[in-house]
Amino acid sequence: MERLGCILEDGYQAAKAGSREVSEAVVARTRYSELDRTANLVYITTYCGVLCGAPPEVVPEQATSKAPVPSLPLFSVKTGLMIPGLRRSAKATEMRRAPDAASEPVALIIDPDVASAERLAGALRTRWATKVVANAQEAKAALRVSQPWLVVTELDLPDMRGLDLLAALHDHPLTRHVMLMIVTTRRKISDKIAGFQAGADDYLVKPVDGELFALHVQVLSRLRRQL
Amino acid sequence: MGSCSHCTSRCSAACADSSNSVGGRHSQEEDGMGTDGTGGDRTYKVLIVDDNPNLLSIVTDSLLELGDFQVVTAADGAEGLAAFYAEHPDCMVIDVKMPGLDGYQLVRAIRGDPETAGTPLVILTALVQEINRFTGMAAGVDCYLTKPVKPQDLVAAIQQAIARSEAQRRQQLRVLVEEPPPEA
Repeated sequence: MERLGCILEDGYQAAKAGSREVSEAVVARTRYSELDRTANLVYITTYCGVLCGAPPEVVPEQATSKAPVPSLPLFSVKTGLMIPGLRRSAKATEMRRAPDAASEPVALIIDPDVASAERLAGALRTRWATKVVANAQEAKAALRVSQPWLVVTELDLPDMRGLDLLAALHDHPLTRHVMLMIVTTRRKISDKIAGFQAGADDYLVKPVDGELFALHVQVLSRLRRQL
Repeated sequence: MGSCSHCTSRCSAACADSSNSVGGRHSQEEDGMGTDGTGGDRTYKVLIVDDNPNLLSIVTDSLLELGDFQVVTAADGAEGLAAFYAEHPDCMVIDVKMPGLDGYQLVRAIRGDPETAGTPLVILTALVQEINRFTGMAAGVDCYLTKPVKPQDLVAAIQQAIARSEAQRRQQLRVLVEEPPPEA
């Protein structure tokens, strides 16, 4: 089964069905128009597709027209089983976005210094899809739509302490498995200790070499699969 | 400290890349390091971080006996990080399971700062599983030793850690992320 990037409203039922992939999903109560199109794969059920305002051509099976669309296996959020032959429209297929052969889900980079964030994103671009935001509110909005496996954050955010954001992500049941990395200008002993105690898996002090940053992310990716 | 053949092989495996990495390996003579693990006419300061006071005492005595080391100690990860900035050691020997800040986190805190990333770091731990070794090496440690360790092996690991270059440390990460996954 492909890794789930994003799921519409009734993901809770899917999680209860026991699928490991679905249990990692973001359960997002959101409008179709607000979906993160960078998600690796978006699952849409008939029920939630209609509820969330998805156009008929991307809502599977019963609600769709008889238009000729690719017939691909989809996951049923109702039964927790794969459904061979469930129809998915060409448009829905376009929403699948494999950034590269590795097909890793996105990393979310939070930094009010746009140039710094873009440099970090650029270092990961050949391997992972990334999303860059400038503050905690934008980060929370992004996390409601899709769930990355990695969050990279500066400690100095304009609207919230980075440490508080990390602690919230670390403690929340839907994000506690996300790998957390601090990339910051702060290098005091107390900042480093507080960062790890808030749940950070890694702590890099700026300026960060792009290749080294990418290696650290690859290490976290390996650890995430093994721990 | 007791002796253990497993520790010797583990040390060899964990430190092997220091002899074949890119960037060229400095010889001990080039680094001014004597065969007793010290820096020829200079004494290397080693910071040992472990929450077991008995082990701190044994390791300290061993290093003082085997070479011309200066030894300072810290009782946990947070204290170790503070001692690192206060003492500016030439090498650190770090336990993993410690309260507050564990050994992996302490290694990452030091490796993640460009000003301190080049510090020679050795892990000395009771954790013997492959996943533990991988986690330690992936955090950026130069050598992963398991307890009990022969004092000579610890000195050798400190020597190797001090002799390593930044290019070798980066190559270690490149190799690790491409390795087959270890068994948990």
